[in-house]
Amino acid sequence: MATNPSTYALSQSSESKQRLQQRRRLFQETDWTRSDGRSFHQCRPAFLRTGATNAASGSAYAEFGVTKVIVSVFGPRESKKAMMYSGTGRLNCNVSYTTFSTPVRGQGSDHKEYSSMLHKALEGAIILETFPKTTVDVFALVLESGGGDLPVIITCASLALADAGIMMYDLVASVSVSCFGRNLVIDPTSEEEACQDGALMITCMPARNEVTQLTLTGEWTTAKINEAMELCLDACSKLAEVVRSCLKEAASG
Amino acid sequence: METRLLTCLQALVSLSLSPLPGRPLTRLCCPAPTKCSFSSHRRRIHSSLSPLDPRCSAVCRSDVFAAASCSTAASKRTLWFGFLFATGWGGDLAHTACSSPPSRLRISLSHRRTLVGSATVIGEENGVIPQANGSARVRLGATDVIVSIKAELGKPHPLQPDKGKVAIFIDCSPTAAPMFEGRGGEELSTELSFALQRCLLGGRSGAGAGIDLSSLVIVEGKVCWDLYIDGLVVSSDGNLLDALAAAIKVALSNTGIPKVTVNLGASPNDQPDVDVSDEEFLQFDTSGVPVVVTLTKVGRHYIVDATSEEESQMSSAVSISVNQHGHICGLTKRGGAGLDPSVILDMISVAKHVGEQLMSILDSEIAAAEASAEDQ
Amino acid sequence: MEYVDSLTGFRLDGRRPTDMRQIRGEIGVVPKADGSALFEMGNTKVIAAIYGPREVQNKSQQVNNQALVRCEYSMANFSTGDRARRPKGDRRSTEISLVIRQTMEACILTHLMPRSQIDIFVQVLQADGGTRSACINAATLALADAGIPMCDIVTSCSAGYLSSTPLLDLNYIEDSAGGPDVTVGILAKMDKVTLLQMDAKLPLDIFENVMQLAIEGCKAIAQYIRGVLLENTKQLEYRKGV
Repeated sequence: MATNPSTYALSQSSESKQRLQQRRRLFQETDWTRSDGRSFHQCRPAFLRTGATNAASGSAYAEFGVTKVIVSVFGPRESKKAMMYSGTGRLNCNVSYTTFSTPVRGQGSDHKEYSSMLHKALEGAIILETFPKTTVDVFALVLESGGGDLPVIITCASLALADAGIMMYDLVASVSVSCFGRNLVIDPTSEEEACQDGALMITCMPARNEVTQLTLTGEWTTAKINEAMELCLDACSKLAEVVRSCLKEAASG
Repeated sequence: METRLLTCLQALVSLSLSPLPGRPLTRLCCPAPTKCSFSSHRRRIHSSLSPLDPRCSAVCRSDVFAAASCSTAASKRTLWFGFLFATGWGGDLAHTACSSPPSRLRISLSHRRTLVGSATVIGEENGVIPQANGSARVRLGATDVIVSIKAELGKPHPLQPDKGKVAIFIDCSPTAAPMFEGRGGEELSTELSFALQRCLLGGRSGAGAGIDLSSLVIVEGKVCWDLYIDGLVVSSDGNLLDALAAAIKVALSNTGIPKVTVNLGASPNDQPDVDVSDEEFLQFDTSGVPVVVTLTKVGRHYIVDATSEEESQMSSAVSISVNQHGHICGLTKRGGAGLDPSVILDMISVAKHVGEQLMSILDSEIAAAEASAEDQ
Repeated sequence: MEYVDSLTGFRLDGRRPTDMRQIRGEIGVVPKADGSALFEMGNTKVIAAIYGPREVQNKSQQVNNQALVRCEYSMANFSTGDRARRPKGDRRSTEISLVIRQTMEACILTHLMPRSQIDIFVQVLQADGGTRSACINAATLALADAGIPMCDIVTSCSAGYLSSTPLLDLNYIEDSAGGPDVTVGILAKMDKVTLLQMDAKLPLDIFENVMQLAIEGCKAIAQYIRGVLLENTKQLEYRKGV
């Protein structure tokens, strides 16, 4: 224990701080290139597959850039005995992070609200009346967190629900937008998220043109919200097509 | 009570649907299908509502007055109701409704409500209990919340060395409702805490934050103020989020952060000595703290300041935080039902109008509370 | 530490040994509850809310010949000086809940409301010693506000023994001095003790004095509470136009 680790740790932290500040300055400029070479209004390529786990009634795997998520759906199965009778089904959502999902080990536990947000995003799309007295469990596991985690989880969960044969009004697609100064950047990576001025996430059912969940942070003007919402809704409908084609592929293959 | 509410709401819904039998409100307000806007005088409009069929007089009896401005020429008719905070508001809002694009029929109802924001200091007695730095109690009708703010010295987050930390914790007391007993209130408490964090603390880089985090830093990377905002729901009758946000705003205006003098250590790695003054306090600038306006969607209408009866019938609710520039600082949606994107945009524009009014009422309440505190 | 000034005989906050702190009671602070009250003893401030008598929520707890009385005691995060996030249902609050429940059960005529449930929720807003007593006093007021049949009103007060002097109604510093702290609850009219707690040792003869002092305190509070209830009833009468 002769070595003093603090000097090493300190220099690193100050370096990362400098890097962060540099980035922040960079993002304030009107024109910069994104680290993965995308344009501002270009989403990461979406890779989706059903049937990621065997034990579940339905499951899906999603990979958007570095963000990798597995969602498994169990049920509908009998609700716990302690629960009161319910004429509609129950939805139980849980989002967890693997310990190696973030650059710093175990940082994923910062996202406790994701479970309830996933629940709110999905409950409007599922026809709960079709399975009274029972519960559907949706377990999401983030294998690697690379920004825009929640939208990926929600999209993947709707695919898994469809795979499990749970009745839904429509597929749910979700996209987020980051705001940097005057720029809107769709589908941000985690390093972009760390410096963003504001964020907007939309979850919608494109075929019904309904927004099931919407969150917004940071300072926005109405015009900006308009622009961001349009951008997101457009991306959502395209994402839903990708999800749909994945389902079709799984059904035909 | 709930059945009574349902009849009320059904009456309201039937009013808005013109094809239904009975006298539709549209015809009552403007007999000819031409543009028309009411002068926003509450009493007059109230009297114009009273000759309606009995279903509607039920609405009138429940202390709800209506003010209307409408345009039936529009092809798309959206109708919204606003239960407002203070009786004096009904007219004002209807006025804004009149001045806004007359493409839809709008009705705003003002509910008999009062807003009391009194700043009370909690926990004093000569420093026996190290006192809260600021606190406030806000009552909205039967909703009653207390917020206390405490500043403690802490260390900034290593990734954000130039910022202090703010944490918001909300607790729902079982006195408010028996269902909050034990762990029953936890779910709602965390939901409220997160919603308030999103609405008040702004984005990741701090843009749009109601509280300027960089003002909380004492020595960059070493010492900062940790601001703990504790809210307690004592009595609950709907619209908790708006009440809590208003209470936080009032409490912040009442908060004094002690002045500190710093003695930097000899080597830069030393933890600096911080001397906290117990006489001199710095005041917060609370003009930038946003207010939260929750629009609850009941049937086809959306209302502000919903009571718990009204909330029991809601399909979804959108909470929008608005700052003094009329910018949106945060938004959360509750409830499962989906909303049309255009409805959300419309809600945002309504929330901006209501937010401005709420902001000015709160500011005058704060000023009044401060003045009365000085008198004592 | 000197808890009683040897020259003047005054306590740290300027009271005489047999002085109580200023008390204040207010009825109807939680509009949605069936009965509610706020009770202050100096800087200690508690709210009590009553829900019931209503249907028993958990059928397995139902008692067929009397009402089920339940109580939950909770402290606000900001109630004490050091801000601490306290978990619900810790040992201290469970114990106080039990004490309050047993004390209130003694005065409620539970046999009149079989197969029903009465919930007493007490919330501490500010804690400065004597929260237990303040909670019981607030609960009494709230029960009366809820119109729940009681055989008498229960009031509670604490007394301690510091610097060889019996002291009435300890505040936080005196309470944390570690001396004996006797909390007494009485049925005021019937002159019966329903609660007696002490957590230290005390010679028997001194204990009697201390307890007597606490009982005097209880009686004074009972007088005040009766006044508050009377005033409240008068107002109700006035509103009804009787």
